[in-house]
Order: sequence, then structure tokens, then C-alpha cells
Amino acid sequence: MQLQRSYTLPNCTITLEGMSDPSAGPNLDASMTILAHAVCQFLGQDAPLSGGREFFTHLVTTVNAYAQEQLSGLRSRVSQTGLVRMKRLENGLHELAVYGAQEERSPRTEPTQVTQLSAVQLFDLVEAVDQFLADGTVLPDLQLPLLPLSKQDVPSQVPVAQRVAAPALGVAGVAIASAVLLGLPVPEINRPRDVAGLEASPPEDLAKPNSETNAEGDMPRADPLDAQPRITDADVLAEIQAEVERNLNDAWTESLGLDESLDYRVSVDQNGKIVGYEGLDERATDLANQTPLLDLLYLPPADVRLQNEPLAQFRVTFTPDDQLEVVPFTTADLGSNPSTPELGANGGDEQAPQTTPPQAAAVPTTLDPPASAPGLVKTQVIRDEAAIARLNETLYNRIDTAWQQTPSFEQPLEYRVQISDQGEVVGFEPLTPAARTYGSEIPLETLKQGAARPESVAEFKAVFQANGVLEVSPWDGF
Amino acid sequence: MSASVSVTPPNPASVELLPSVLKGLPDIEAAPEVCSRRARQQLDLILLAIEALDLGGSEAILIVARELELKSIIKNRVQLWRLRGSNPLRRNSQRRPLKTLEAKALIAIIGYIARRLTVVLRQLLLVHRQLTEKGQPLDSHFRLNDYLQRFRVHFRQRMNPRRAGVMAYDSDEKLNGLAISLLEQLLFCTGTAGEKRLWVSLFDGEV
Repeated sequence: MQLQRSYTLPNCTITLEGMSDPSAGPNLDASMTILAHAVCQFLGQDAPLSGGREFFTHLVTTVNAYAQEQLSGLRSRVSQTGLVRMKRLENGLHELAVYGAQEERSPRTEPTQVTQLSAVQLFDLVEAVDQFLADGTVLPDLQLPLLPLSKQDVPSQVPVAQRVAAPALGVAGVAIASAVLLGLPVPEINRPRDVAGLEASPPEDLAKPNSETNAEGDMPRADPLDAQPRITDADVLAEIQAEVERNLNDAWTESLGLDESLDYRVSVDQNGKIVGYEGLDERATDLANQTPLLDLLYLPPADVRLQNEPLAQFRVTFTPDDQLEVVPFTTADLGSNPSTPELGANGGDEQAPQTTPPQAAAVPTTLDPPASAPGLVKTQVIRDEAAIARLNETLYNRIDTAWQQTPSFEQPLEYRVQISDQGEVVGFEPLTPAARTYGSEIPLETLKQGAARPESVAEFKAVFQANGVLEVSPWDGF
Repeated sequence: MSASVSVTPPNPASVELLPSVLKGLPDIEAAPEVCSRRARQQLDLILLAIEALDLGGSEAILIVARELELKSIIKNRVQLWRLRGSNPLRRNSQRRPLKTLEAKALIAIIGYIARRLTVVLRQLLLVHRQLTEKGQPLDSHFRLNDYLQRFRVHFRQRMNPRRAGVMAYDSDEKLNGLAISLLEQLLFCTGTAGEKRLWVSLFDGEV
């Protein structure tokens, strides 16, 4: 049976024409189950929106979704698709567009009807639809549950261009920065000069003075050694030398089994700690690790800069018969080392007068003859008692003859003296700080001059008393 | 279109205690227990619009709460103030969550009052449409201007100007636009399914 239902609102009227279930028979209360025609008329508009079941279904769906959009502000896709589409215009009006059935398939088709609705008209439309949905007697199978928009269904409210702008800017920034940075030249590696001559693979980075990786025995400083202030005070130098000798002797516990001596240039700070050493020839460099120098190497903590600490330079020699010689470093020692030519060139003149103890007349500007430096020779020691006795007397006579100067010192000066088989003084070493200080008054240097390296030496202890008395006794005792 | 909304009472033990007005607002599946920031904001602003529409608006809210037997949820003026204070844009934002039950109560009140203001709402929106179409200033109409002005004053008084959401409304025109859109939302609330629509829209994009 034919039925008609209307939902009338001030601005909008929806009229539905349809039929009830044919099998139900004539019944005034029958539900309209079949929709034949639907008309949506807005007040003040001539052409109503009309269509069949499909149109009406789309209309209801879209209006439903659109109303929720207006309440929450989140656009959904439903109102943008289908035969009936709605969207909000710039001026606050709502545009309702109806598309024909065939045109829905192809995009960018023109709608058959477009209407603009004010807020009140829209509300009346929504209300009409709600009244229809609430009406159980009309199209009961057309259910439209009210559901919130799920997260996935919310398309981004921000246009794509805006969203992409920020990451695009970031990527562009990274690209530009990397292009600029790649254009920078690779920094050159400047190998520090004082590293030359050390192990075959000098470490590349000596800029860190206290780097752990340099504990293998290389000079931990990148600066040339001349740049360090020198310790010039003779007393201090003497004390430092004694300290170094003590430490080295204590640390040197086992024989090195050397055929020839090993010479090192050792830098020592004012406390007597060895802060660096350098082999003066290749063999010395190779065998540096076997010497006690490595054990005594003192690496200051990372935050202590050795930049301006005064240092003293000594030449340390390990002889084949396991004797230790420590003498202040001079330029002559450098001369024998071909691998550090640059130090000899500019540092030599300043070095010698400062590092050698002022036994050579204490004139800082003159060069001292290197051969007069105190030092012991590492050769075999004569053990024959008769020879020792003979050489004892020879040494006594020699020194006594040479010692003419009236002593100005008050303490006795003690020396360890080496005398060759022929009676030549070949080496000596001050044993006390006073001995170092007043070494200039002792004729040992002049006696030693010109002595060749002997096969064997006898060692004696020579004591120069303040009252002018000389005592010479064998080093090992009677 | 074949999905269904499951109507589960918030708490089996308190089913009898749920005020009847709230029964039309079903709990949403998979929705969190508390409302989103947007929801808190929206409800407070709608109440603000109600107060701007009617001088007795604030009192009316409390009276309606009593009439609808919502005292268990909104006990008193202070409680209402606290609920509204959950709006993050407020100067004295309470930083408290707004429970869904409390939101339902507020919506019920909003719907009730909105229906009483149906005529006013329609009239103001009509006037606004006419004035904008003709290009006339909005303060030509006394009642509309009254509403807009009161809304602006209340908004500026209560909202924290340092919030980005508040800074978006820094001019009179923008505040007027907000006021009109709130009128539209109130109009929706007067409909047959007004409260339900508002309630469901709170969860748009949240589930």
C-alpha cells in the first residue's frame, strides 16, 4: 500500500513516498519498507533535491556525518564521497552537492544540484534526518548508528603541503650542510718533529701530551724540546741527576745483555721524574723497552700541562757490563744522532751553557768542550789486586799533581773515578751534590781529556777534603 | 553501517544510580575513561556561550543540574567550577581529568538549557546570516551584539592568554567567529538526537 511520510521543519521538509510490505496487506500502521521517491525541500529554494532510495541513503549518511563534523571540527571522508556531498564554505555556509548515479564513478564530475545552506537550514535538515532515523515505522532497515570517528578515519586536517614542509625543510638543511662540509679540505696531519727517529710507526697524534697511547715510550710531548724551559740551576741539576741515577739503578734489576752501550736523551722534571726519553741511535730506540726507562716514565695526569714546566736533559747510557752513566745532555751528544738534526741547529747554542753544570767557568755564553763532561765509561773493571794497588797510587799522584787550586768548598767532594790500565783517567762521576757544585775546582776534567776508551778500568773513590787533603781508595774497598 | 554501539553501564554496581537523563548517552567502546583535551575545551566553551546568552546562565546551570537529578555528579557550585576548570585553556586550569560520567552530566545540562533557548538561538543565527550577507556590522543588532560582547568579555576574563589555543583568538572578529560557531553547536544540541550527537562527537578521532 502506498504510504507517504513527511518530516517538516521550518526550513526544510523531507517527504518520503513509498510502499509498505506488499505481503502485509492493507494496514494503516504498516511500515514503509520500500522507498520509491524522496524529496528534500528547503524553504526559499525553488528546486528541491530528489531521488530514489540510493539518493536518500546517501543523503542521510552524508548529513549524519557532516553534522558530527560540525560539532567536533574533524572532517571525515564520508561527507566527501558518494552521491551527496557536503562541505563547509569560506563564508560559513554549507554546500550540499548532489551527483547523478552514473557520474559518481568518474572523478571531477559536476554535481547535478548544488545548494548552499545557512546554519539554521542545515540544522533543520539534520533534525529532519534525525526524526526520520528515530521513526521506526519508516524504512526500519535503514539504520545509522551514531559512532565517533575513529582515529584512522580522520584524514589529516592539515593540508599535505603544510605537513611536508617541515620535514622537507629538515632534509634540505641536512643536504645543504653536508654539501658544505664535504667541500671543506681534509686537514693535513703534521707529524711533530721530535717524534722522528723513534719507533718505526710514530704515533700520528701527539697533540695530547698525556695520551695513554704514548705510553710505549715515545716522547709524550708534541713540542720540540727546546720550547721547554730549561733548568739551569746547578744545584738543582745535581740533585735531579742524583735522583735519576738512584731511580734508574733501583729499577735496573736484571742485566740487559748488551754488546754495546745504549744511549738515551732523557728529559727529567724538577722532581727527578723521567717525563720522556729518546734513543740517540737506532739500536737504542729499538731496545728502549728493555731498559728501566720505561718503568720510570712518569706520565702526569691529563689535566697537568707540561708546557711550561722546566725540564732538565740528561744523557743516560746503559753499558754492556751493566753500568749506568748519567750526564747532563750536551749538543755533542746530539751530533752523534742523525735523526734529530733540527734540534742541534737552533737549540744547540742555548742548550750547552744551560744544561751542563757550570763547571766550565760558569759563563753562560761560551760553549764548553763536550769532552770535559763527567761520565763513567762502561767497560770491564779490573779486579786484580796488584793492579788496583798500583793504579791507586798512580791516580793519587796524578790528581795530587793536578790539584793546585785552593779549595773554596767546606764539605768534602767525593768522586768515583775510573782509571785505565795505562793510568789515564777515563771517567769520573761526582757522588755528592757538593761535588757537582764545585766540580770546576777539581782537575778531573782536564785529566780525562783526550782519554781513549780503554779495555778495562779500575775504579776508585776520590775524596777531596776541604783542607786540601786528597784521599783515593779502591771503589770496591781494600 | 552494520556496526553497533554496545550499551554497557559504566559500573555494574551503580546501574541504578545512573540518572535517567544519562541513559541516552551510551558508553563508547574502546573509549578512554577520561575525556580528551578537545572535549574539555568544547564543553567549557559551550557553557560559556550559554552564560553569555542569558544573564542568568550561570545560575541556570546549577538549577538544571538539580532538576535533572545530577547532584551525585555535580554536587555544588564549586564542583561545577572544578569540572569546567579542567579546560586546559583556562587561567586557573585545574589539571584534573574530566571523567566521562561528568561529561555526560554536562551534556545533559547543555541539552536541556539549549532546548529552552531554541528560539533565541535560531533568531540570533538568522540575524547573523542576514547581517553578513548584507555586509553590515554585527553590532547593528542589539541582542546579537549583546551576546557577542558578553562572550568576548567572559572569554578574555577566564582564558589564559598565554595558551596557544587562546592566542588564536586574539582579535574581536575571531572571537565573534568562535561565538557564532558555538551558537551553531548549541543549535545542534536542541535537536532530537542533539545530546547524543554532541556526546559522540567528543570522541571523534579518539577511538
